[in-house]
Amino acid sequence: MSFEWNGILIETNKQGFLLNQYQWTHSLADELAKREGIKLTAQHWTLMNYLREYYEDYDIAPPMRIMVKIMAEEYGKENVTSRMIHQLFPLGPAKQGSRIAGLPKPKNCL
Amino acid sequence: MKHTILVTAHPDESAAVQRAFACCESIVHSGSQVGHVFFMHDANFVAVHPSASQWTSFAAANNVALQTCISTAEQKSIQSRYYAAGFLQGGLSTLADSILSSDVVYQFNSDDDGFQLELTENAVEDRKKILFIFETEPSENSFAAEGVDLLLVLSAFEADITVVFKADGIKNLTSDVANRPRYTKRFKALEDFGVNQLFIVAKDDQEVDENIKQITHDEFCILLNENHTLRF
Repeated sequence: MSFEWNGILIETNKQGFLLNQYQWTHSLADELAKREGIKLTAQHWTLMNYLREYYEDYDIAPPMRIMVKIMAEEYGKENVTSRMIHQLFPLGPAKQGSRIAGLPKPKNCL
Repeated sequence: MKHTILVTAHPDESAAVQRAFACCESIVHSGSQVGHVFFMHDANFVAVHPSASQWTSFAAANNVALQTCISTAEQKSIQSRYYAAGFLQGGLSTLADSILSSDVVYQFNSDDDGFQLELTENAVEDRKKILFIFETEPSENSFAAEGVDLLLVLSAFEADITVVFKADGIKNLTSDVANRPRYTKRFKALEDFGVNQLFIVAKDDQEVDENIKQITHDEFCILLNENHTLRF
């Protein structure tokens, strides 16, 4: 599957993950999110930056428990629940978050 | 008694697949149940192999599910439309579920001489206890990568997991980071997934990771008897 964006051909697999991860930029992330009906906020970016960092370190997506912990450090314990993180990426924080963050599909995604 | 059979060997490269078939037949003859047979890694080729027909008739006669792993099939470009009858495509969660609901798990690797048949003849007391052994040299298309994937899925199913690195599998932790396959990074994240029991069984002259506790061969044997054992 593919689409043209700013004069560049963006190719993805059937599930929407980028074939060429090096094409990913912040503005492409905005576009990918828009195509999934999401407007990226600072909270989305905190989580996506963490997904990218975790992937670089460990080659997988972090478990929900760790995502909650990281978000709570940034936004305060009282404001962060796993439900709130699910609402950021309703199709699954690890899967949809990784997709928009330009990462491959997490292997540990059920 | 319920059994899960995990086959990981290529049908043409060793007798392991034939041994797995003989094992399934003898389980059924003895009046026990084979729940699922899983074909992972190179064993995915069994589904498109001339020998598949014996599995097809066995599965139909004994109500056994023949499962292949969808991610392996994708990686090896094996298309399910060429599968023999009775073979299904599923995810690792089907395998995880089957392991956790079985009394006995048998694995058939290509380098196998059937040794674990003797070791795990008895059913485990606690079906949730699982031992992962990483014992082969890490490489990019290594079977160990699929092992870590399965490990992570099982951790999400709240299995009680122990991990042992031995023989060449210790290199998953110690070899030069720059040359190490990417998937080996996942071992460093296991604690985040609630997997805290990591051990090394090393020979005296082997280089080891100082952060992981070493256990003796006797302690390792105790683990083998108490857990469902999977080897990668």
